[in-house]
Amino acid sequence: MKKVLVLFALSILFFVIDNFFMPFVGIGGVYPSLLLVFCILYSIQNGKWEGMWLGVFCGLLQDLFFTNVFGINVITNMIVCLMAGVIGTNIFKDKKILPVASCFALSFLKGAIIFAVLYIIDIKMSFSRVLFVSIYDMVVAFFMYRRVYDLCQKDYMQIQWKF
Amino acid sequence: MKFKIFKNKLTVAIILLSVTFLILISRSVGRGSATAIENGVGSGFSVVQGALYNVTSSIKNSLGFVFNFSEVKSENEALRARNAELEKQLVDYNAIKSENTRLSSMVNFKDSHLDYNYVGCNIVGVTGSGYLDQFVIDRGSSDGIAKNMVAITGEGLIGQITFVSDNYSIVQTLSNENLAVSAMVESTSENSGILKGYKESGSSQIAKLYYLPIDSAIKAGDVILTSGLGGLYPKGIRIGTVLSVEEDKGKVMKTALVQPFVDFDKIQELFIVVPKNKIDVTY
Repeated sequence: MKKVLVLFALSILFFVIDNFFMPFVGIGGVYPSLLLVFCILYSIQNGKWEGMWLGVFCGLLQDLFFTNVFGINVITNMIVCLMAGVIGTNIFKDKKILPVASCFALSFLKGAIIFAVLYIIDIKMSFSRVLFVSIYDMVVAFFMYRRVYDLCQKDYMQIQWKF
Repeated sequence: MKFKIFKNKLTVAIILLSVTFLILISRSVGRGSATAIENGVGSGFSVVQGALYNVTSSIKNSLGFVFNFSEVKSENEALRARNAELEKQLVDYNAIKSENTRLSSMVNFKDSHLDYNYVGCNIVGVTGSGYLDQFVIDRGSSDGIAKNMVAITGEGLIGQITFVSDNYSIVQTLSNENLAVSAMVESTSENSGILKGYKESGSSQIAKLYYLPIDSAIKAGDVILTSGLGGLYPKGIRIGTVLSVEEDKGKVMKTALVQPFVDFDKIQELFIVVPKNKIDVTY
C-alpha cells in the first residue's frame, strides 16, 4: 500500500513539474518530460507488469492536457514501459549506460508513434522536435537513474515473494 | 490448447488495455470538449499549477531583468519615445473615432468592435510534451469559451483555443501548423490571406501567410492584421510583421513569412475574444 501511495504521489509531482517548470529550462522550445523518464526507469527496474500499470496511470495524467486526442499518451506509455520492462530483465541494472541509452531510444519511439498517429488524423507536428526531446530526456535520465535505483531498492518497493 | 494463452495475465491485460485505448483514441479524435472526469481532475491540476507557474514565471522575468540591465535601460528609453508619439496619435484617434460614430449612426452601420467580449485569463501551464506548443489557461466553457476562439494580448494575436473543458482550456500558439486565421495586409488592405503556423528546422515561432494574390504589393516589414472575415474575431488585431515574401507560381499565389509581435516565452495573461452574438458566427 505504501508503495502505491509513493508511486502515486511521485507521478503527480512529476506531472505538475513537467507542466510548470520544465518549459522554463527548455532550450529553443524543447523540454524534457520527467514523468516519462521516471516511468521508463521504473519499468527497467521493476519489470513489465508494474511498469505497464505505472505507464498507463501516467499516460492518463498526460492525456488530460493533451489536446485533440485522448488516449494517445496512454497507449504509447504502455508500449514503451512494456519494452523497458523487457530490456530491464536482460541487463545489469547497476550500470547506467544501458538504461540511459534505452531511455533515449524509447523516448524517440514514443515521439515517433505520436507523430505517426497525429499525422494520420491530419495534425502536423515537427519531427525534429522528437529527436531533441529524446536527447534532453536522455540527459535527464542520466541524472535521475541513481535516484530511481535507490528508490526501488527500498524495502517497501520490493516485490515480496510469499512462500 | 489455444486457451492457454489466456492464463497469462500479462497478455490478457495488454490485449484488453490496447483495445480499450484504441477505441478511446478513435472516438475522441477532433473533439473539442472534455468528459466529466477530465473536468474535475483537470481543474484541480490547473489550480495548483497556476500558482506555481506564476511564481516561476515571475522569477524568470526578474532574473532576466537583472542579467540584461543595459538592454532593459535602452528598451526603456525607446519605449518612452514611442509612448510620447503614441499619445499624440491618440488625440487624433479620439477625434476621428467620435466623427466615425457620428457618421456611422447616420448611415446605420453596426460598429463591429462592440460585438466582442474580452475574457481575461491566466496561463497555468505549458503542455504538449515538447512536441506541440500549447498553453493551459484557467477559463473554460463555464466562462463562455468555445473551440476555435482566438487568444490575444495587448501586443497581438497568440493563437487559438483547441480544447475546452469546464474550467480550463488549451490554447495552441501561432506557430502550430494546425491553426488557420484569416488575415490581411495593413498597407494594401488585401484580405484574402490565411495565416498558418510554420515550422522551420530551427524552433523560432514563425507563421506563414498563404493565398495572397499573385500581383500583391506586399513586402518585408509590412504589418499583418486579422481581417475579421467569418465574424469569429474582430478586424484589426495585430499579428506580426512580414519577414520575406515568396511567389508560388504553381498555385498562383504569394506567400509571406510572418514574425509574430508576441514573444511566446513571456506571456502570463491573455484575453480570449468571445463573440457576443453566437448565432451569426460560423465556427
